[in-house]
Amino acid sequence: MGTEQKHPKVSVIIPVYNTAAYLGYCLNSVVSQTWSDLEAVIVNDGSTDDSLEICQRFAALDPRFHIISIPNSGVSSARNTAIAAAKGDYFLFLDSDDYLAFDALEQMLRAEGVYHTGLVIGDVQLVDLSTGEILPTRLCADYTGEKFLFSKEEFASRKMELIWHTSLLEGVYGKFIDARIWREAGIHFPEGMSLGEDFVANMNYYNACNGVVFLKRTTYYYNTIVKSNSLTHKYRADLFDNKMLLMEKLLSNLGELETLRPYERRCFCEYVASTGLRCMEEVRKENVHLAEEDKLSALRHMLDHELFQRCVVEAEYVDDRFCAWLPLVKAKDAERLLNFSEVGETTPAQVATPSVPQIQRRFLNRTIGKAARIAAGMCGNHPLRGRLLQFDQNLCAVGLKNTFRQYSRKERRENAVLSDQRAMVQSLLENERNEQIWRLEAVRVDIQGSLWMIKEQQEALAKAQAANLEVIKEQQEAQAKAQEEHQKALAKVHEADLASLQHMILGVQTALQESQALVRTSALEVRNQVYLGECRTEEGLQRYRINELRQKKKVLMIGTSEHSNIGDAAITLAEQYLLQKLYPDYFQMEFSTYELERQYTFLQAIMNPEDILFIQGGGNLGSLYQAEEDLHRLIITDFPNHQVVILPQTIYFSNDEHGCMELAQSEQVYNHHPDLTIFTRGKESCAFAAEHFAHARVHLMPDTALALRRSYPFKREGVLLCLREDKEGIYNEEQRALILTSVSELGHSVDKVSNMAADDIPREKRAGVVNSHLKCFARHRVVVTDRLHGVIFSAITGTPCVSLGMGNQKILEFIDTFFRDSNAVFYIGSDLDRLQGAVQKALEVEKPVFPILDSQPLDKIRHIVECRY
Amino acid sequence: MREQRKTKEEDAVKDQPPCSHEQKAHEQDKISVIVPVYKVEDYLDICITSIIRQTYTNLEILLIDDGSPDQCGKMCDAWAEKDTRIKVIHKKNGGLSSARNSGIDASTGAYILFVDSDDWVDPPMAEILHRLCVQYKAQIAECSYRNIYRDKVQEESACGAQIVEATPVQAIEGNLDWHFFKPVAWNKLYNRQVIGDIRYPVGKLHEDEFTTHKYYLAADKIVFTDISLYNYNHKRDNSITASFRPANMDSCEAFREKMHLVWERPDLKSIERKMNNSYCYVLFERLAQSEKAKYTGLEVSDAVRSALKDYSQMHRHGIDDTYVQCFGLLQDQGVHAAAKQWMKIRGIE
Repeated sequence: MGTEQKHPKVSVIIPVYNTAAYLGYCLNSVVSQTWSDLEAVIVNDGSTDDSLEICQRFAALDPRFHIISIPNSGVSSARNTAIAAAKGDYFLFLDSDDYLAFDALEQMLRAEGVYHTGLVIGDVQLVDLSTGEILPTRLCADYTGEKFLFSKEEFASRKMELIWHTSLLEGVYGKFIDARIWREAGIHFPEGMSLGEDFVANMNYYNACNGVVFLKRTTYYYNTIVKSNSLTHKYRADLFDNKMLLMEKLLSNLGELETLRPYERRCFCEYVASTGLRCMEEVRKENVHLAEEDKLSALRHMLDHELFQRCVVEAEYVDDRFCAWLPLVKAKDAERLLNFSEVGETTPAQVATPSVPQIQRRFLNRTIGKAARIAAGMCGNHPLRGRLLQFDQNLCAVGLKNTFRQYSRKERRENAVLSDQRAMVQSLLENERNEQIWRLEAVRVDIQGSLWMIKEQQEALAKAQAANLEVIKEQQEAQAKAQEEHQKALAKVHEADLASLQHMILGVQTALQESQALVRTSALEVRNQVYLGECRTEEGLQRYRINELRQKKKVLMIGTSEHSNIGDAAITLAEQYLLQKLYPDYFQMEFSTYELERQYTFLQAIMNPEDILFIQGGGNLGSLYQAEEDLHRLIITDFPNHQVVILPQTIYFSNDEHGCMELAQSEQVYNHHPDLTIFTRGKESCAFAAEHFAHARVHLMPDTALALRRSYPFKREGVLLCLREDKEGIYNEEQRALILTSVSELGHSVDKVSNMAADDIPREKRAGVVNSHLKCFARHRVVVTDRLHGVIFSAITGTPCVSLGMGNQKILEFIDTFFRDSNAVFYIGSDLDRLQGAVQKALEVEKPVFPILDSQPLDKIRHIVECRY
Repeated sequence: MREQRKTKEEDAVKDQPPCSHEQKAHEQDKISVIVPVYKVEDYLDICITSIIRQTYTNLEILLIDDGSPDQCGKMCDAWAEKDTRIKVIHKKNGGLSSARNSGIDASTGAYILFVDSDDWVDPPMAEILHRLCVQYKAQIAECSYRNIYRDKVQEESACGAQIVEATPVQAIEGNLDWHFFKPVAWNKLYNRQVIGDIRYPVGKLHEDEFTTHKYYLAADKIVFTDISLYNYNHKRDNSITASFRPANMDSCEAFREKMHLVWERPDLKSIERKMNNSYCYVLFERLAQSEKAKYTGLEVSDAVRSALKDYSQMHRHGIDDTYVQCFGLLQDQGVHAAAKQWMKIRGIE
């Protein structure tokens, strides 16, 4: 700040109008931000009190403050003016009677830096600055459970649900916004609207940004005293019409009511119904000075509104205090609606505060909902998960959602309710005993769920055992077949070569040994799974996993693969075997890319100081796969006190601006971790990593999939084509046909196989899919492939291989580094003319040799990691 | 004397090459931040981070490890490796005052800022206070602060960003009124000149009540701004401030010393009565506390004895009737009666 900044990172946008009493707190919270690279853009909207003077005093002391004065023209115009003058990369909107948490900007920038959504939203704490009191109400994103990040698509498809449940999306205050996206989308606050102008601008921005991050910590303090006197909360005749106009705008933004997803549609209807009902409540209030007829005609006018009526009919949930009104609203009975309080047993004042049993019910729902959510989190990809989540969602729909929202609205409107609320909280505390009973109930529900899961686990165990038997049976068959051949060979013993016979027997023996090892490891897997299940019932809910797991020292496999690429599945499988072999004293757990986001808090909770984090290897370090790289950064940033190991990777950052930016970010993150080991699969990656991630330890290591090496007793026949057929492949259909014919011309049978499975490969299917894939390789004499894992699968099945070129340097780098001294790997680049010759040569290889496999470098991983050199 | 020497030095500087002149200017604007460290493992990192993140970077950060028996000493050394502006002094435990004094003696900056190691500062604190000193030609610049409690954060003032220029007398009066100027050590940037030979009293609690007014009197002008830039951490309160400790009686001594100084100096005549009243307030408040804690040690009887000795002179200089009444009881019936009366007046049981 010493010299004035030309281009600050963040512009804090502050429209000011007559808030002298609280302005100091507001501006001081900007001065005191822990992130200091900022500017405050203050637009004084023709204040008539001391506001301008206070702003000027701050500006005199802090050069980061800029003041623009305009004649009074409304908050929209003031914000638009401020944005036009703002120079920051990001905006943060701050109202002049509220204030920020002191690390708000730092936290929000951090989230934006990791997720790049262009929209970060923190929780909002209500305060009363006239007394300095923190009120019991928070607007928070609790409802979303452990989920805090919504991609653009998720956000678009669940927007209404989030608006209705979190109450955090309507106002622009406290929002952290990407200036570039805002400007490119041409967003302005509409001027001349009497309410909701920021909601309209927000909706436009929500369509333009890349998703949303909820920070789930307080970044913004909302001062309710001033607001309750401000225009928004006084009775105005046109309130209902304006609100409905806003609702129509919202709907046009969301699309047609008919085309909305059912749940979104329901949320929208409940939202509109509640908004309308609140307006009716305003009219009914005794302190509204209106003649009886005027009140009646106002109510009639509301009852005749088409959208409102429609939504009331469709709404499945409205606030408890409105339940009794619904039949009257549907019947359009204005007279009875107006006089309802006299007829009914409760007075409006009592109605305004939810009675204790209602709160209890909500609290109960909330507790059970949470239990369901946690249980769902523990299910992994289990089918039960969906049902539990659905259960939770249903609970939310009936009970939870309005708890927070209702409090906040009320407080904004009338201060009197505050004391009632305190009494309410008091009674809630007194009911602690009941609370215990509800908790028990929640645990009971969970145990039931767990029992269900155990049953599933047992079935899985049975299945796995059956699968094992099958494997053994297969091996026996193979043995029988081999013996048969043996006999055949014996029959022709005079012409057979005795040596080859012995070789065959040896093959059978190793195969048997291997299969026994395989049975052992899968039994171990099954045992682990069952162990997890048992613990669930004994310990109840999360206590089991968290406490129990925290005690253990673990190897945690992060970002393992459950998608359809068999290459990645093989890497994961090999890592599983390898780490089990190298770290027999550690407990092994895996968090796949799919589940990590959901399980992240759980992961943080179970960390033992001795745990080691292994990040999945492959070709995903770099700017090519953004999500994967973000995951690496997240893990490395969040676990500075744990050892982190990145398993063998190929590193690739594109050479353009995007790549350079990404690289700079990664450098920043990687070099800050005190104990990071990176293994690379090629010399170039190794050199690159050593140059850019100087603080980490970098080592050369072949692809982990090599650990799956084993010998197969199969008779080999023909040539196998393993070519990439998706859009990333470099050969088009014509060229692939050419490859096929030119190989066929050599007079051998030709088979084709793809490295992509038809469907996702969940972890329980992983071993089966990979093993049958490897067997396919082992049944052929030569493999022709343009995939890296085609080469690797050939090597571990002992099959000679012809490798074609590929888009990036992955293959060449890998072959050059690890198979240079093999007699059975032929790299011909993209030169198809050399194909026939190369295949011919490969067919002639008698004894394929892969020296890298014999040296077993992977077994040294633990040694290298522990030496820390 | 010091003034003269300084001018001579400046003259000598003029003859030297410009680069050295710049260096000199650099030295002249350097701020020494003095951080006494004792048993603050939980807070130390926050504190130091907040200092090295100051937007004003011309700093010398002195971490005084006051014989802390835990890991604090090692933590300080680790920090010193991360930032070359940090210097660590390990010393035998001698209390807050002695740690601050060692810091003053080891410092080389033209300005001095004290930060307690369980508190933290906002990024622009040094910059804003330094700018105030220069712009208003003041020797002490002071800002407001916020109180950090376990469950909430509360600003000490309204944060209106006013700037108040004051003479030493006005600043001392502000201390007594608890208005803008506060007698705490850590919300101020001091020009080295006002520090001079004045040091904190070793072995006393409320060390700043003994000292702050002396620094004020050594200055020509003190400037205050109502922006809060310092975070005063009350999280540890239950152990120290909340309950009564015998050493709390030290504050009576501090105020008594201050009162005698006011009597001696004609330029402080205007605040005499206010000073007397403040002393009485502190005295009876402490007596009531000790009474409540059922403590009757030497510290209490010493305080009473000195107070009675001063009473006639106090009376002569002017003192409110409430206190006259309490003193009467103290003289005739002893501590118990006076404390009871005081509690009645203050409306506490």
